[in-house]
Amino acid sequence: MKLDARIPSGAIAEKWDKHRFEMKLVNPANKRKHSVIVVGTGLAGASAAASLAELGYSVRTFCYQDSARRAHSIAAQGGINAAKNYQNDGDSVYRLFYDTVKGGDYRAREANVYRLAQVSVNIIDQCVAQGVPFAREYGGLLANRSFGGTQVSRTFYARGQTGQQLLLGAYQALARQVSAGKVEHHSRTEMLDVVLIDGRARGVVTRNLVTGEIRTWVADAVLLCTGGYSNVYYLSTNAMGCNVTAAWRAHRRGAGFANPCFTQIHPTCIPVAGEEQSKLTLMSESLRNDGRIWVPKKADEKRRPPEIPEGERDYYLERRYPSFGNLVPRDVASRAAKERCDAGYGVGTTGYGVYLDFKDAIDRMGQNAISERYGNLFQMYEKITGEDPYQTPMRIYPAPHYTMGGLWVDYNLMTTIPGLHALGEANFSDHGANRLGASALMQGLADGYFVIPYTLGHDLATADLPTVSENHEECRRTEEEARQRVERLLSIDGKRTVDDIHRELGRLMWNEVGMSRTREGLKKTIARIPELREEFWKNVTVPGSGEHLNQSLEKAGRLADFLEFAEVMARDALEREESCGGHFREEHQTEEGEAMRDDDNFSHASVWEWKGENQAAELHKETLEFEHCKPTQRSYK
Amino acid sequence: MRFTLKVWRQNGPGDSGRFVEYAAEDISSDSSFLEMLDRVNESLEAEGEEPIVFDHDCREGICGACSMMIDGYAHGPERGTTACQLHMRHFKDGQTITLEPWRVRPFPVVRDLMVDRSAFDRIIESGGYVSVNTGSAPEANLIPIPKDIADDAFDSATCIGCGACAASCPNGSAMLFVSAKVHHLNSLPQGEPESLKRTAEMVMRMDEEGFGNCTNHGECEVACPKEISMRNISRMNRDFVRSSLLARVFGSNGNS
Amino acid sequence: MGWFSAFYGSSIGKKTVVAVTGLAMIGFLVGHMLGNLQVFAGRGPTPEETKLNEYAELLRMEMGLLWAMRLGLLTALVLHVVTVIKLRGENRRARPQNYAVQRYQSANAFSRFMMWGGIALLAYVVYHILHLTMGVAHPDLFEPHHVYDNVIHSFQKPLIAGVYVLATVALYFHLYHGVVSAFQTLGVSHPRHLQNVRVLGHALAVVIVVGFVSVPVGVLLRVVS
Repeated sequence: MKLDARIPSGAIAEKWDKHRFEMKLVNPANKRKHSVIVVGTGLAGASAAASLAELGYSVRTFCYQDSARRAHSIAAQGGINAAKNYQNDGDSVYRLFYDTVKGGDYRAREANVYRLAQVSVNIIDQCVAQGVPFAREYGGLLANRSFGGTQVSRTFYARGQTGQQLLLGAYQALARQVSAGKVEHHSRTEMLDVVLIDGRARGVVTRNLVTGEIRTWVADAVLLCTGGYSNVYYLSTNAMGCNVTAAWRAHRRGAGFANPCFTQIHPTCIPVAGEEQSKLTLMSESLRNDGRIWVPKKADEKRRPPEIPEGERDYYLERRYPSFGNLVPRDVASRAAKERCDAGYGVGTTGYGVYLDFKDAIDRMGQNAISERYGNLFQMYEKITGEDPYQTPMRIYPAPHYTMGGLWVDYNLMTTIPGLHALGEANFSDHGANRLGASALMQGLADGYFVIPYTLGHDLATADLPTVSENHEECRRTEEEARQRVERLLSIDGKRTVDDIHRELGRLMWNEVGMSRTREGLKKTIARIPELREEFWKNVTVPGSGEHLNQSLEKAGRLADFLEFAEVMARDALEREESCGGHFREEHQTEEGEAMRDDDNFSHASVWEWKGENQAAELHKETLEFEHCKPTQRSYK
Repeated sequence: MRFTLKVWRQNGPGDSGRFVEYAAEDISSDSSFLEMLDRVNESLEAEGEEPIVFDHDCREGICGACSMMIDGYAHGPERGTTACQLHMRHFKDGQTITLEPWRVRPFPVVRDLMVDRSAFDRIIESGGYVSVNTGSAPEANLIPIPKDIADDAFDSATCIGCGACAASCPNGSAMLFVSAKVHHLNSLPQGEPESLKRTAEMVMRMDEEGFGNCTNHGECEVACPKEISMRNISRMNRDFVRSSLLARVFGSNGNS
Repeated sequence: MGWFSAFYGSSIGKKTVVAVTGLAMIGFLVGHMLGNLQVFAGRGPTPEETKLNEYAELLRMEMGLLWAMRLGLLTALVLHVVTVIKLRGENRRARPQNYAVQRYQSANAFSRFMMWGGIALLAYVVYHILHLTMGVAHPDLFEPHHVYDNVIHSFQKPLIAGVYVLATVALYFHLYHGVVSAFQTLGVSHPRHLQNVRVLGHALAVVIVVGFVSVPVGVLLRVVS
């Protein structure tokens, strides 16, 4: 596997312009003849499909949901960053670039991040023109807030539903192209494999989730916009259907998988209530602006929170990080909560929770002010837990939320398989080892609206594209493999349900490849996963048939891929002998328990190559150069 | 807690369907309604039976996938709440709960409690967008929009497209869904140039899909998990009359 | 007329027609009611000098105008009824299968009995025309051009008065939801205006109903004779 990042030469601020000029264009008359498949219709997929269709390409889109509008981008709450500097507070493209590289703990590719910061301003223009109702000031201009501990206000937002509004904008742009006949959309259709012909991605195999029909679609290029893999933990803030299948199937066909161990654990989620829990709910990070986090000083505290006197409370973030206090970055806040709970100070029935207390803020500003800021979040909390956060502190606990790792892509967003591109959370490119708040929406839309429309043209203009049909031998073969896999899943007839095995995998991954990882635990996990995989293939039960809508079968196929993926994730975590961003290895910490990066040995993206079933994946490295952002140890004391 | 579920089971659009009773035993009051169903389903799966099919995805009330009539209420008895955000503590121990799919002709049953809502997508495709190509947008702050107008547009834009409005309407009308999108876009300066054409085409598409007509029962507004107001409907009526009558009488063709 | 059939073909177009024809009929009802109240002026020295009869003669002065009005009303009524039947058909088709359990939360007696109220009113209108316009329902109680006597004699029969009172109850339900819906259909959407419309709906319904019901009740209670 050869890793050529294809970073354009020249000064960082000019790379993208220069590259756009140097890339080949597709003749306008020929665009119609090029077909493109887009898998996934979240922010990245919908924006890419709409933009490519506007350019004239013939686009086919697929999503597993019943409508393109339901992709999980819709759940993003906080906002979207852009270097508009509307607040005149010192923001710039360069500062957004710098913050993102630093926030990613120096494990991202500088050139990509710079481009991201550059196009961020266009995203806001585009979305406003689509009618996205961003928050505004009384003067009618766009409002901004500071988010996730940045020192400038560069986050644009639409109440707590920014992801929804941006996705609906992209979905509507897509709908417009569907009605123009430029996009053919397929809902309730899941991608099962990618078809390679002469080494190039030329199509996908899909299963129609309603009829069970498995078939091939050919195209000149394939875009995977299929999101992240947080559901490897079973419980996460991802939607129930989010899965790694598309990315993993591409990986098995030769696409390198980069940094799978870089996962983000969000500190402010509603804690797990019991065994039946299927899903975790995020409470916006903005709550930490006014809430104070604490646990009792006494382990096994039985008193209700208001009865615990001030002196017997441990405001551990304020204690450990006096200068940032409750506003430390996500990874730091999450680990600190885990540390307290592991030590026995956690609250709630499970002992895995900490208090997020608004009493001081309510005393200071009044209940109305708090309700104006967080009313909908407080309401949501009460809906789920049945407790009133105005009266008693919220209980929160970290939860898997976003995955920085993903398919390795070059500067053009192409994976190691020619013709196969990965956009949005599905790729690894821009967030390094930790993503800043309000940057996921920015990256998804940057890739879809402003990067791929250019870079895909270059790929199509320079590729050798002989005509192929669905009857090509490779299509038939790939399709047949997918069919056999479905049949195999249906024929096991074991005892354990898919969810039961998924829960076990999730617990294992959460405990050993979660917020903090140890060499020993990882080794144990790497040994355990193949056993669990075997258990799955021997003892899972998938009722029903493959010829109709079968949700058990859908879940089983996804879990089968998670069971393979989990192993490389654990191996990646073991291989990376340092602590950086969301990856914390207990062996690599300072005496105060802070993460210790090892820039001499690990300033690279780890890219894994599939070597076959039950074969160890091979590790490749893309060395990361930092010309502009010189790595420093993050300190929030 | 324990519950008796009367669940509508239907193998596909051609099947006639029937109610089947299930017992949900040992349910925590903290679990959500869908988690309670998960549990019933897992016990069915463990016995090799096919689980109850229902749409769901984000489980935090925003994707709009979940959709079922719970004991006669779209999304259940709690106001402003999707089925996935409904918790069992709101039910009585031992209660019998009836579950049915959305019943509107343009939403044919796919299986059990799952329906096909692609009619909503087709309505959006008919005009629920602003015609702006990527790259051609002007600077975002060029057009100031008064805060109250932006906030009002947002209120309409929060629609999650779940279909509860049409499902709960005694007439099977989708006016709340359509008007929310029409008003969101028509009220903003970016959407104004196409407003009359948009209204006319979306209403036409809505009719072609076979939804019923609004007779102002107001069930949609109460069932809407995002509490979208029926005001949108009257605003759309006005825009529609403007687009199809006045514009033509006075010789203009709307703004198409 | 291409645009009209397109407009009428749409759901909102049909609703607009129902609203406009409904409002037109309300306008007629107000006039009719004011005319009816002349009965309380009592009996004049001669039938010709009786206020109510004078009013009836006034209407007949210009037969052309009367028939134009009658035709207009008939058109409004037919359009109203036919359109409602069409809408009703569409609504039934949109909901081919009912829920085993459905609990209404906002739909109320007013909105749910529009159809039954409308049918009752239609039946009543036919009876009313047969009774007091054509005089064929109760020939024994009818004498052409003696409107006042006809009214008094009829309403002294509790059964006939009862029918008229019941009809006004149906009218009340139909009118209230009708007025509010008409304004909603015609695009009144501001919450303050909507509140006013609701008040107006009730007020109009109450005034018209009280106006109408006062006649049979007044006769029955011998306020006029």
